[in-house]
Amino acid sequence: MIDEKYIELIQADVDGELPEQARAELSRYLLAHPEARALRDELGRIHEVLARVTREDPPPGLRETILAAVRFRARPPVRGQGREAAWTAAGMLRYAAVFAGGLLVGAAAWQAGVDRASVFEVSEVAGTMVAGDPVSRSAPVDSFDVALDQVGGTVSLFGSPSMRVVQFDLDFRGPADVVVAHDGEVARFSGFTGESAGRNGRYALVLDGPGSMESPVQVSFVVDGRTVQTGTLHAAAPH
Amino acid sequence: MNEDGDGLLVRRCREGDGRAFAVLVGRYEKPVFNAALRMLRNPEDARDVTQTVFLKVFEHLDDYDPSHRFYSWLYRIALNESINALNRRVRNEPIAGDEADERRGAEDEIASEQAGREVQRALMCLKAEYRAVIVLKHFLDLSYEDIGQVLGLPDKTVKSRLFTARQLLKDALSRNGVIGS
Repeated sequence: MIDEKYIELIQADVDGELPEQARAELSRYLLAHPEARALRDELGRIHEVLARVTREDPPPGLRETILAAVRFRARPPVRGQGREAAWTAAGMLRYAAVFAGGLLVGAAAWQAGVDRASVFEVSEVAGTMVAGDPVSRSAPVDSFDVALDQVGGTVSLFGSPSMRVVQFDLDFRGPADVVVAHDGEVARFSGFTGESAGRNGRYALVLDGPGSMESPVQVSFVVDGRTVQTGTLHAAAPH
Repeated sequence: MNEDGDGLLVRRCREGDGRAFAVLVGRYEKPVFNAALRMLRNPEDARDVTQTVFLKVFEHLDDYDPSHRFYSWLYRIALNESINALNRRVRNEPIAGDEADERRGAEDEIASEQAGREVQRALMCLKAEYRAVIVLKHFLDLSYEDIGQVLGLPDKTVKSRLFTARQLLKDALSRNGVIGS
């Protein structure tokens, strides 16, 4: 039976946190108590096993995804609606945070140098949307269906007084690019394949340019270099 | 607060300098991801948690108390988010990643990968509170004092919890044949 005090000292020794003044005392104890030496060896083996485990690199693009989301949050409130803008921005952050996993599209957005848009994957959206989120509680302003061999689903435009979000509920069955044109800017999101379908479902593109409240959003799907479908989303749905 | 390091970067973030936040993310992305990975096992979940952690940090920078180390605060958020993610998992749900692990193992039997798989399997046998101290000590290389700050525990409790966690881990590793019992 090892005295509790020495168990603590043995552990501190193995962890490199043994006070210098306790070193001699522990040495004497170890010499006299083989079970204490066995414990020290055992803890040392656990250390060795754990030290052999590789520290993994984060997935490529993760940092860019984080910074893209934060960049959106960092922008100042727009159009004199400071209070609401801040509230909705926080809501969108949670929206992005909860569903995270925007690596694929987020990285694409970053690489494309999209300056006024942040894009997030929002799979697993059902039932977990935060209360008060502008997207979760509102109906789409406009939408269109996509029915191609490579991709199917719906693209919808949601709006609040200070922000608009293009939501993609898409099932990719083959390689396809998505091109979004809005307010004089064009962003291309590539890298979607059938393999990405495992986690796909819902993506959101946040529009925050100065003209974002009125300008129509044109969304095109490109397969093998050819535009195979284009849809336009209007801020005010056409009557 | 160390004004030459994290503290300075946090202060610049609060003043609206986005580049400072990018430096913080670059500095802590890997340890946060690894902590989440060891808590959750699934790389996809770890990626999601890592993103959530940094977004929360950014949102709540004003709540950070600069008298504490920044990384203690950050790692506390990381562990809490990991535990939240564990709680969200459906009970008895098969843990994704096994298949990929086995496939990778067939292709490449590097010792560290083997050790990683066995250790991860053993870690998942521990309750989250014990796994957390192992992660903080062995994967984030924190001192007892730092672990105490992260978990909000006194030094003495940290040491005893760490000792219990290691005994449990040893038992699990022995069952897997990684170390002798």
